[in-house]
Amino acid sequence: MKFLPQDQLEAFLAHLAESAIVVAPQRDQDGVLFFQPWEAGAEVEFEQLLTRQSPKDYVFRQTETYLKFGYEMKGKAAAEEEEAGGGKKGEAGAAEEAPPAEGEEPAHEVLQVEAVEDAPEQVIFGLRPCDARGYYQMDQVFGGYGGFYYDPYYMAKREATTLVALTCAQPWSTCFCTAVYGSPSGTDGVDLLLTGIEGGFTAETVTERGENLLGFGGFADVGNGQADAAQTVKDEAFAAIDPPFEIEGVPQGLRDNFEDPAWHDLHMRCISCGTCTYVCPNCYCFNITDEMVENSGERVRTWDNCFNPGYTLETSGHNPREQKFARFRNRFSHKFSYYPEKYDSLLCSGCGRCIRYCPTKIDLREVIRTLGQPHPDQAAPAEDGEAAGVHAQTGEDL
Amino acid sequence: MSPANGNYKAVEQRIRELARTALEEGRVDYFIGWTAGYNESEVIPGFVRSADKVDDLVWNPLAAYNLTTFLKRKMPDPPQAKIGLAVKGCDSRTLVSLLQEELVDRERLYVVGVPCEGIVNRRAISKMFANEVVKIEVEGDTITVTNQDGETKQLAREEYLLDHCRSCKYPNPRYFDDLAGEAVTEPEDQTPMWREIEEFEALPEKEKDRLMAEAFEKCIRCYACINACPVCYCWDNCVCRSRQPKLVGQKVNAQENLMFQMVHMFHVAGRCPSCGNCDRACPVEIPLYLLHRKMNKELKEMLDFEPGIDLEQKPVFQTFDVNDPFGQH
Repeated sequence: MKFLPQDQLEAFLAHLAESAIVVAPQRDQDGVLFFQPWEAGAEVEFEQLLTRQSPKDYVFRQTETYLKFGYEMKGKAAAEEEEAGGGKKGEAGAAEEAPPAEGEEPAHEVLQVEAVEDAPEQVIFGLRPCDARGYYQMDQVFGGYGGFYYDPYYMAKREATTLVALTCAQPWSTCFCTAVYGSPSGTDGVDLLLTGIEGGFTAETVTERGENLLGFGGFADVGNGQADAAQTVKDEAFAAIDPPFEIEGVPQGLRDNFEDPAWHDLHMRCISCGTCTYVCPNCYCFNITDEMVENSGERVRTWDNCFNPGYTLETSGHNPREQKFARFRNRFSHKFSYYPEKYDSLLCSGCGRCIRYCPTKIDLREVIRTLGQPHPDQAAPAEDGEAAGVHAQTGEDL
Repeated sequence: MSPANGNYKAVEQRIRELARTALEEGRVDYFIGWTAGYNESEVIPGFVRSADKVDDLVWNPLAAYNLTTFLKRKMPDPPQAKIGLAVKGCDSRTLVSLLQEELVDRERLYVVGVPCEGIVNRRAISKMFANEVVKIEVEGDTITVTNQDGETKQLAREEYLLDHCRSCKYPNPRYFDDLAGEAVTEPEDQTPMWREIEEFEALPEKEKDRLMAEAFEKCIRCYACINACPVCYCWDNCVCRSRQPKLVGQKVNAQENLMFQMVHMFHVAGRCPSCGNCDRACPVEIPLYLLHRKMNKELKEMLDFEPGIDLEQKPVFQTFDVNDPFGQH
């Protein structure tokens, strides 16, 4: 364990910025705290517990350009088109009738594709253990865990990223990391963990990547009682969180309660926007679109979310989650039931942003408390008739 | 805006009584009002289904959410639920806009009007402390804010009202079945105030561009604004999410985001009284309310129209009048 005096903080950031992009919490023009690329002299804010969004965008980009492409006419037709002052793709019909002369290429369309690679070395500095744990949980999805899909776009960025986390000294009332196997000083995904004590920060290395950062000359050896002081900060923060639910059994509980009428009550104030998923450090659903203007464009991956009405819309026109309550149910079930069946974690790190920034303050803790308890003796799931009864009774919306 | 009479408890009691009666008599299947949030600094929408739950309903100057939003999804649906709803002055104007266009069924509605003396700006207040604000209490002209360390701050209520409350012309609901409490005094000067818009209009074009780009750069396209909007009703078929046809790009950047917001602004023109629900729903705090305020200013100046004033008023884009101020140019 090392000690970083407060007055060495900026020098440390500058040191890191020599070989990587440093991303740290900074306020924007409206006073809202976001992770932003840091430049020398910019004011970094570590006092406020959480940024508005988690820093997941720096690895799992909201707009990720896979490749750029373009169609171009080549050969005889293209030359004639040019002479005629240009023309649109496929309108060179007349030219196609005349056979090309000896040695001349027939008219044809050529697709040009250019891969986009964008994975700069970066240090995400001052993120909280729940944010870092978000990467740890996404890593399993994109990193080929259990022989599943390996995503080169996500992984290239992830492998070029170092996470310097900061222990939470004073959790908010919406924090619940300790209920989901986390901790205000947790180290899942973390490379170097800083803990604020009097006069600076203690620094603990978690990985080799973190170890390498200690080459900075401003670190001192931990002094008398500093390690104990850091431990006290951690213990107090851990004790400050009153776990709002018992996680054991929740995955099965959500299975058992799939048809529970309570879903129809809880979703009522949900307005079906994507805020909870876009501030979340874990949510990773995406969509892929070809953005074209005339004959060229880009293939982009953009964030998607389960509240989007088109989220599971099939090409047939059928949508298994056409109703809002079904999309609502999916978010919680994915995080606490479907994901843990496949991967070695939950898909929630307990930051509580979804509660705090939801326009109507839908409370994940309330949903899990209400629907996360297993019912071993529960009767068979409701028949269609019963579900329809709920529908009529509550005025269920589409 | 008149000084606060601070009679929130009496109004709250009246809302509960009206909701209880409506539920007991079967006039409504459920009542949508406001209820306590995750801590005492938040008041959130609450759905009450039985008379024994009406005491969950609250009324105080934190009840910002425009509950009319919940109608646009429910009312056209087949189960024919009868819905009770509490509305403030600005909320009622969005309801009137929907009623004018026959988008909600008046027969299935029971509306409790709530005279409003202004909603406090919770966001401005919560930025005063680095740590969590856990309680906001309003009594008379004083707001008392408490943070998680138990420190308190006293603020003048008048200075921490939402911007549009400070220049509100219509604090009393424009449409209701029963009014929960005495109507409040409406300001005598009925000229709307456009101060913040006029300041923006006076800026050089380049500066306007810069500010717009800065504001919309941070939009995350979560669509909270349009889904929180009570008068934005294409709902699951918004052109901004549509991929077929593709009209607004899916890339998230200042240009596409601005395009999306412009679609929203123009599409709700004539229905939107700038209630601010979009602005408060925005998780990244883009001052969206100013866009809609600007549109309201144009409507007033060009067509002498204010949205949602009374049921008999024709929607502005269904009328043509050569004598309107624009026709005079």
